[in-house]
Amino acid sequence: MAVEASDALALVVDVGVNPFVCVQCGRCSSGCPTAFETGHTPRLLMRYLQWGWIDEAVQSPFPWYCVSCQACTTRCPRGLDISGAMFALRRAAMARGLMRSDLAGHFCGAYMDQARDHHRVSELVLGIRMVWATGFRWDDFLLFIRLLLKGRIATTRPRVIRSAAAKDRDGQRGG
Amino acid sequence: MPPKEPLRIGVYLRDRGGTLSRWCDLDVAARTFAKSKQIAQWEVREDWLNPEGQAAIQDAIQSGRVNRLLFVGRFTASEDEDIRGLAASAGLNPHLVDFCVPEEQGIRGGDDARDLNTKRVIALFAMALARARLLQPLEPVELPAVDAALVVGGGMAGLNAAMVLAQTGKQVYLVEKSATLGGRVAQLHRYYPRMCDPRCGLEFLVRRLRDSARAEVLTLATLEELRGSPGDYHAVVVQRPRFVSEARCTACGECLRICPATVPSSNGEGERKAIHPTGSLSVGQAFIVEREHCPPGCRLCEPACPYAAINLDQTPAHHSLKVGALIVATGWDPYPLDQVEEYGYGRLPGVVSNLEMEKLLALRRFARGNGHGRTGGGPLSVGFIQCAGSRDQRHLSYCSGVCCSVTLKQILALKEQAPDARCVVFYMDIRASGTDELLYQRVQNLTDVIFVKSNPATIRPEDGTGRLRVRVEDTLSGKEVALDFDLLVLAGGLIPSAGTLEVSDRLGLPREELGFLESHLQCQPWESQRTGIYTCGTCRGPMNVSQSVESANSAVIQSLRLLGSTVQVQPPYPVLDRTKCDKCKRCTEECPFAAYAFDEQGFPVPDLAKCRQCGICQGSCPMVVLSLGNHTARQLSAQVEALSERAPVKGQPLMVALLCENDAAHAAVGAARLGLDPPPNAFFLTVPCAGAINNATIADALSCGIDGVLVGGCRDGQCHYVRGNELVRKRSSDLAEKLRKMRMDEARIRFEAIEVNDARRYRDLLHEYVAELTRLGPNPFRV
Amino acid sequence: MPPRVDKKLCDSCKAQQEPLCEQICPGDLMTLGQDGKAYCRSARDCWDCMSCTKACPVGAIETRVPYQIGYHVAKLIPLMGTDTITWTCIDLQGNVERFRYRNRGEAEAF
Repeated sequence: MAVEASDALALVVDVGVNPFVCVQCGRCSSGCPTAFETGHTPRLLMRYLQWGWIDEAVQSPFPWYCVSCQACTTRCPRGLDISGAMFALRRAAMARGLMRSDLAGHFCGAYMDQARDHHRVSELVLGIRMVWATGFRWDDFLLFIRLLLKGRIATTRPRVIRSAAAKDRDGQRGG
Repeated sequence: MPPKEPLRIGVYLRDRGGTLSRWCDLDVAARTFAKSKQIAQWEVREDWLNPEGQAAIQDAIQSGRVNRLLFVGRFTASEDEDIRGLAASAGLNPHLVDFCVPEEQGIRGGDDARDLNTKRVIALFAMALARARLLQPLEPVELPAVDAALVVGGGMAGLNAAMVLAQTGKQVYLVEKSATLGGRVAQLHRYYPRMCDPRCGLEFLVRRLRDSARAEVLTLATLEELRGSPGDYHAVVVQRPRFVSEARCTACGECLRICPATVPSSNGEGERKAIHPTGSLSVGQAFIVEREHCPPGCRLCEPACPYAAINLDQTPAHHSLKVGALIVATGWDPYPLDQVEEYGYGRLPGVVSNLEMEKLLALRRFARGNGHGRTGGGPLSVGFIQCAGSRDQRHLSYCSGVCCSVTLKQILALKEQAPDARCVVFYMDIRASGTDELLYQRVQNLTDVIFVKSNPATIRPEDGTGRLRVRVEDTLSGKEVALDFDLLVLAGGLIPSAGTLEVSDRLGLPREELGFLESHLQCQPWESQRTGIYTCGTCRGPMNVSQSVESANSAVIQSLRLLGSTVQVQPPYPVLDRTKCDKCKRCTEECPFAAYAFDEQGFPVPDLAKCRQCGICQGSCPMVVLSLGNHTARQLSAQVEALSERAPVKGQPLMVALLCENDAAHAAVGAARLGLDPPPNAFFLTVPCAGAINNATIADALSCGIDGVLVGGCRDGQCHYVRGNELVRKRSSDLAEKLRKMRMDEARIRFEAIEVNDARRYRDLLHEYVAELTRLGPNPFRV
Repeated sequence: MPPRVDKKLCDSCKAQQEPLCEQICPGDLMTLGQDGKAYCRSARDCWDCMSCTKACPVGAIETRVPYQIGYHVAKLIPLMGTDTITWTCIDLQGNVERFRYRNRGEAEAF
């Protein structure tokens, strides 16, 4: 199910972020550890949302670089949950099939697929998927093999007792 | 008890241009009331204010033919005053004159409306007569007053207020808790826009006060207690001991040589002794001993003084002052910037507040060789971070308004001392309004000042260089920018000072949500919610020096009415009938201005000097024993009862609207003026505040058969008497609850917030309400 | 039968020393309970004068008509005017009647 442009904005509002509250002060960018890796910043993304430029927002590399350190959310003078908005944009991008083909994208895809399907992440599966996606070009490939051989990677996924709420969420899963 | 004089009401109709008689049949009206024994005269004239009309009025009063007057027609406010004045000069109490304006009730218009208009005007006359019968001859009250004022706070606002008061010939006492005057402005290097040295202005003020015979300045003093009423206060001021006699000290300095104790100087530069001079911004030249810094048991200064001026056993002095008004000017404190942890204030050397920057500039620290040079040579690099701890939900939510202009000023002052300094201003918005824009342009034009529209998240020390690094996104270009600074100035905001909070608690002065002293009305910021206590300067809210000075002047002007030999209180004011009062204290609780106190027997007594004449006490009284002048609950009840017997149109719901004079009534009058006709069976009555409406009046209206009562008050936050609208809304909803229990429709009482401009909405509201009442059917009490 | 106080409406007369119902009860039966709301201390001693019902400024008190006369469904509700009282009487069958009286013995006031 493809997510429409307005749905992307709805996703953000859904996590409790009203982009119009942002005054563009730039504090979030100033504290963000990954802000300048991609040339896009959290403040810029909020601006895109204010204008309704959902295409630009969803195609931007920056949401994929968010590490949820919460520096932005803690410091925002308006109390906006900016990292939450970034994750909402990732979901919107994925819903459009815009999975990034770089390292961040592969990792996020591998991680979020598992989180969605199993509510738990298996390190083994994560590692295998990363290898599959990137081949030996993955920097940590050797580290992964070493840890596997030393028995430091869990081979089973912990069980989750499904709550009713979780089942509900699953029902909403789409696209 | 003398027998009551029989009522002789003169009903005088003003038929300007014959309009009133065209709109309704005045003869029918006259005949309807002909049988009333209390109406002594009924006359229609073109104009009552021309010489013949005036003569007629005077003659009627003086001959004793009438002892109450009811004027019908439209009169302007000044004509209203003229008529009352005329009556008074003829010997009739001006409060026994009343006015009835058919036009306001929508009684006007074409010939086909004449029949209906006549019926409506008859109903209106019945109401007006019911009210006129209960008019009382009200007299103004004279209360004692004192020709003196007390100013609390010796900063810029307080000094100005004191000086102006002294200039107008009033005795003024200025109470300042520290040893010196000038407050925070004395700590400033310059003020904008002319970049004057504040000592110039302050010394001028202090000198004026010192030279004035009418001003008494008490330093080291605080207001401990305030008793009495506006116009006649008794203030107790406690003055801490100075330990040095002001009469004997010659400031020779012998004691300085012997004093063993040193304390850090309050201006941040070096140290001084525990005994020290207080500088030019003080009254007199006497030194002061900071006893808390003296070594235990040390009394070396006492014998050392050649003039025997030192007395280390001095005790606090109590001053008992009689004053008519209080002016609070207790000022501001800087927001504690260490709360903004990520900026490292208090932790990182090199991070200072804007107030501290003033001190550094005043001490000329940036001039070459004075200590604040660049570490390692080269031009000084100074950063200014605006909105530090302001406009932030975690700190101060509001903008203090002055910090941007302060930064601009500080940059110019800095450039005077260190011309090659480089400055960067990190801002969210530059708020330099009015002519401060020109200040902004002066600074913008400097080549080595950059404005970066970005709010930094953290300040980090750069290892090795001793400088501070700030990394931001330059939002205007989208690029990352990292800059190193020798000094970072945090432009912090203003909060109400500790002294302001203390005074507010001690005197019971309400504070608004940001903590500043709350005024009575937005459009009258000079008076607090306690009559007789005025506010000026930053204790009211963040402001700059010019605004502070202006506010001081406005507070003084307003306070003058209480400074004199007497205070005149004009009616209406509340009067209590003790026979039925059961001391439930609701009036005391609900009065927004704390105007009630209790006598020895526990009865509430309104302080007429504090009273703001809203009538909320009357509305709150469950026993209906409080009456406000000629706006009593009984008058309203008599009016609604009179109406209930004379519905203009049978078979349609009869409704009455009780509207507050300040907002809602204007909407009703506005509707009439715009030709927006109300339903024929709808009339309105006015009250000083919706809070003055007593539930008993509404109960009377409904029990007489009126189908619906509309209570019109102000919107929340807009009530002229703080919370009259909220109170009446609660009371009428309680009454509606009772109606439900009585198997009547709760909808028969309705509260609406009506604004001044709501003319159209008011008219629509009436029609909608009448439609609803039609659906509900007639009031079961209808006879 | 003892008066019933609606706890939601009762505001303890703004927590002043004596609530109005306590002040007016001729049998000294009304008082504030632990929860800060008014209540009747002794049901048996109440003689249904209804002074408390009339005095309550927020209309929180309701008197129950004794079961021997009208059972609990029956009600007598006073509506207090400036110098009038309007009574609504609801009987067992739910019939409603209303009576309006002017107070006699008006105090010397306007």
